[in-house]
Amino acid sequence: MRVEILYPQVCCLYGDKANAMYLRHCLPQAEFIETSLTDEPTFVREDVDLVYLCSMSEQNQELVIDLLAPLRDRIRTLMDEERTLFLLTGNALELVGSYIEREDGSRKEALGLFGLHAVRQTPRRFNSLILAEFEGMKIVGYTSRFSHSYVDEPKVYGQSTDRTATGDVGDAVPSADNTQISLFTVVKGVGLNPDTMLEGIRTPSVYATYLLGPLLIANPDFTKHLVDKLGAHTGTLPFDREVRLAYDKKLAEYSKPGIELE
Amino acid sequence: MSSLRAHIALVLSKMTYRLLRVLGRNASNAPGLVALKVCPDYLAQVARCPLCVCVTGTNGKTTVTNMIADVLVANGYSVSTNRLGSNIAPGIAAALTNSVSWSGRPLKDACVLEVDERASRLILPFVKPTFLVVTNLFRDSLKRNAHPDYIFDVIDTYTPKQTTLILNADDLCSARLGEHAGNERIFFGITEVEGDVTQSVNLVADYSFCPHCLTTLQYDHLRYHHIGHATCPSCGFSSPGPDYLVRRFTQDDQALIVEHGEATHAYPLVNEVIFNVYNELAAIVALTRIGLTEAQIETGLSSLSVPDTRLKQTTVGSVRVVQAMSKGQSCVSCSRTLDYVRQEPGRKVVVLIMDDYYDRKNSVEFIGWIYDADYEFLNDPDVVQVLACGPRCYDHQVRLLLAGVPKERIVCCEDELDAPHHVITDGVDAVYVLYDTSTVDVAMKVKAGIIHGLEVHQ
Repeated sequence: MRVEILYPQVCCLYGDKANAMYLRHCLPQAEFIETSLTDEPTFVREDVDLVYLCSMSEQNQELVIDLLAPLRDRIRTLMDEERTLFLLTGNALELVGSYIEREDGSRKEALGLFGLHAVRQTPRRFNSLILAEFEGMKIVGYTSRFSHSYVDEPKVYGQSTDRTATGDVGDAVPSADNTQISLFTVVKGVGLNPDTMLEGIRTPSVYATYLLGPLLIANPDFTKHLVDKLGAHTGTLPFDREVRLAYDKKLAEYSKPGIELE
Repeated sequence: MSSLRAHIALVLSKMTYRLLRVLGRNASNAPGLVALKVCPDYLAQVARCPLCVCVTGTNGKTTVTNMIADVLVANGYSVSTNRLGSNIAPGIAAALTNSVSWSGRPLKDACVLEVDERASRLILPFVKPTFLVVTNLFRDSLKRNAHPDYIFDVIDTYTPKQTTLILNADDLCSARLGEHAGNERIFFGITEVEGDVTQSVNLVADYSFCPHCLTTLQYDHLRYHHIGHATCPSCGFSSPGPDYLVRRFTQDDQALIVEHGEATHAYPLVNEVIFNVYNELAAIVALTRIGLTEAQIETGLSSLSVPDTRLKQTTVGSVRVVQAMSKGQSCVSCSRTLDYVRQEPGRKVVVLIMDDYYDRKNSVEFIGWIYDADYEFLNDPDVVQVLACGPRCYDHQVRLLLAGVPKERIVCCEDELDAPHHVITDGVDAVYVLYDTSTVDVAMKVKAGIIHGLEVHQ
């Protein structure tokens, strides 16, 4: 098994590197490849089971888009053929959308793999605890960002919990089809933007979420799901007892009525 | 003072100051709040002193601000400063109120202002400092400061073009400020010292690649995180050469040897800890550019000391109990403290009391920062026990396990006050209590409990 961590020099904010740290324990037999800014990603020429890309500064978002744009067709092929799982956390999610609208109204074209776009509102920072659901499990997480994402066209995006009933992550590009649903359904907090409880993007080969930081360590059941999906079935996770103790404590706190989210 | 509104704001601000002083308050913030409420552009309206120095950056700005102000005062300058107030707009406004007369005429020779780096966009364009000292830029609170690129952009965008920048050449995160705007820029740095490395030992380095060709930078010497002197092996980009360079600082003769051009001068060393050497150097450069002579600076510095509130110790029998500031939410501050603990001799116990006191009341602290902090430094045979304390103790426990700390050395205490009951002291040389600014009270209780336990044990 091969795991490729893209651009850890710049994609390393907010403790996101914890996820790769934990995956190394979860997948002890896997080969981990860290791809620097001047390297061609391994997935371009070789099989990779998991590509991980995480939070970065807004300046580096634009840099990474420039690096990945020439590889867009290859990425789309890998996604369509479901040969590689792409795990995107934090504002890495915005890279696969159609564009990012800057504070001055100008646009940075993104990879255009999904029909949603991001709107930056710097210096307004949006911070929130997020309690969400994923396949019957509760997800505890956190988001902190300068931007929100919106679907490009008002169609049905995900399920009926969408407050605005808008938006399939649409037909803006051919690869975006109706199999797309949100990754998480938010119970407390907000989703891709303040008007929806739908959070992230999920296809058979893409798990993308605005949640950042040690997402996998904080959510052992989700991590087990991910590891199983990669075909590396495991009975218990590394440090299973301690990780679950931390999760249970946090879940109880997140579930308290009236908890302050920001 | 150009507008009637601003003048009314000034008068009300001064009256507020007088009233609060009569009531025995330090009046360092409220007069500014009043001024800004009455006149939102008060900072732009109030008359400026002949000299204005602002100091910003992630770490060290308070120390540098105080050093500059104290040395100026020691040399006969009248100075207005916000040392007792906030470093955001109200604190700045209050300091400016104190720098002018009731009629708005400047009374002081200089304003020396500590400026919060994120709030600098609301201050620098209006205050228009003569000099802006930037100590360094590191990642800090996620909620407030996002990331160093954001803070860089804020300072870079809002610094007036006519301001002279005094910058840390060893910090590439801030050294490129003013590059495009064409500000006059003066750099300070410290030459290679014992203990410097060429490969990072920290998890976080916020400036690791060449801005021109993206090649990974090579460090000729690296001090901590991204602080050091870097070059690009591909295109030749490098850290700027310092105009003022510390050649040597010696504990024996308490001297700080600074080279500037062909000249070298020995200043009194205020504190030998490396980040305080940077702080003193930044102050020396600012004072030099203001126009003080070496002798004047030397005289001013000779009476100064850096209050060591961040590190205090009590010895009971053969065991030292050390309180060490380790700002929560700040992976760099935490890593620096963990590195210090690691390098201290002897067998140690480490008590972590860094969970934010305010977040715990009715929220849940985002704990991602601990994965940017070098908990790996605690994976050391001499660290015989680590107590993870506070509501996030189980998260700290997982982090410690991932850092390789053996499970049997970790103790979790949801209630910090339980910690003294679990601390082992037999065969231990020191107990380190690491605390956040928000947990100082509970940390002092824990420290007292540990000391009490040691005294009873004797």
